[in-house]
Amino acid sequence: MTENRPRGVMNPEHEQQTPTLEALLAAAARPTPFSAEAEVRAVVAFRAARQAGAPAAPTRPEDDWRPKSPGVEIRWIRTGIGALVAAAMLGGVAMASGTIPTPFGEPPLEPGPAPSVSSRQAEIPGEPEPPLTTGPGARIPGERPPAAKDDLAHCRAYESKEGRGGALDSTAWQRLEDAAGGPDAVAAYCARLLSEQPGKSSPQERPPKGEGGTIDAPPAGQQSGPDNGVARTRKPPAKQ
Amino acid sequence: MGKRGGDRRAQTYDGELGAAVERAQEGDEDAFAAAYRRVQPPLLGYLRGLVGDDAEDVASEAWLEIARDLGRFRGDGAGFRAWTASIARNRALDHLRRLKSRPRTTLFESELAELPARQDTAGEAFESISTEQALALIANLPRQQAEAVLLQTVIGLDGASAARVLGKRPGAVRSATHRGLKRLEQQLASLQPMRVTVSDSRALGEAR
Repeated sequence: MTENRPRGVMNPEHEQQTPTLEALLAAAARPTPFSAEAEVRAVVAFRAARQAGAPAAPTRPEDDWRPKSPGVEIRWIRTGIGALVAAAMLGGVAMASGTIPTPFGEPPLEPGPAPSVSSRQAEIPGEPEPPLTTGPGARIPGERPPAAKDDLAHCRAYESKEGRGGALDSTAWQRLEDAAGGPDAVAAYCARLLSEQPGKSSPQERPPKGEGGTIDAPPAGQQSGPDNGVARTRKPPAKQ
Repeated sequence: MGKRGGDRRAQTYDGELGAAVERAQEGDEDAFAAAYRRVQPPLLGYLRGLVGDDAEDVASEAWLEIARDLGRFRGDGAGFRAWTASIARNRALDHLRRLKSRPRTTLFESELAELPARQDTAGEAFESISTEQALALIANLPRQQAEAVLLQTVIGLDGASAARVLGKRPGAVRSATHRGLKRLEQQLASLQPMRVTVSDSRALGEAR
């Protein structure tokens, strides 16, 4: 910042007579004295806040000043690639096992969310979305709408990062916030999603075939890549 | 700006601050007071540059919020400085909105009037400018430039954090800093040959 100093300041004669920019900045940065009374007020406020239960308040994006580690994004990319590979495998298996012909059948276990799966699915081809969310493998077999699968992944990241070094990237956080209905609701939303999820293993690590056929296969067929053409022909019944 | 030689000290400082904040988040009142004592002086300097003599009041408001929301904060010592600066800034902007009718420069006229014009040695020149005067000169910059300079020199934020606090792109903050420093140098140079009087400081205000 010193390379731009005007000639006058470079002139040693002048330098003796006027404060330099460095002197000015150093002076500005000198600690400003503060009153002990103000400190006491702050501590009293702190005590009051503790007693009011403030520590439980969730972290909003503007409160998160953890340094962004490049590792976080790399891990996300890896997760995405893994999901795509697993999806391709799942799709192939589903086709081979002949489960694809019933793409819009109700999933045997959880009938509730199924309709929204197909309507959501039908909307997606119209709007370009990142591969992580539209990629067939980014869906969890047979359990909930596609977005929920992403949320689940984001929740895992959110939970695992809580209290450690990383920060959830802002789009992921935004999705969670939208899905949960507000920043304050994210923790509860995630807790619910994660508790609904049996076991810790992610879907792409599960064996893609076997006894899971009745549970996993229909929705996997319904959502996997080769089958998207079918979904595309359906119009969404209503905007969500 | 102030980076030379100060890095290690800043790291130790931020390390200790981060530890204090962590203990404060667990409910340690002494740790909160320690964090306050570390953060308040630069925060006051920043606020002085933003709201002049109302800095202490605005800082008090900011600390109420900091104390209340401390449990939400995530980050280290440097992050805490940025977080608190961000909160203080919001309170300061609220304050400025409340007093919109009053021009900010008048807060500093008396201080500018006392800016020394002549010193015999470089050593004396170094001490010749008081913190108040320095902050007053910075405060007379256009606000974006003033804030960019204050956040980096007084609070000690890096460019990226300063940009986040200001809600601007780092490039914009960099150029605002650059222009601000340049203007400060010009002002210093133009102040130098003559004794500074009240009318000079007024001219300075008009030059914006």
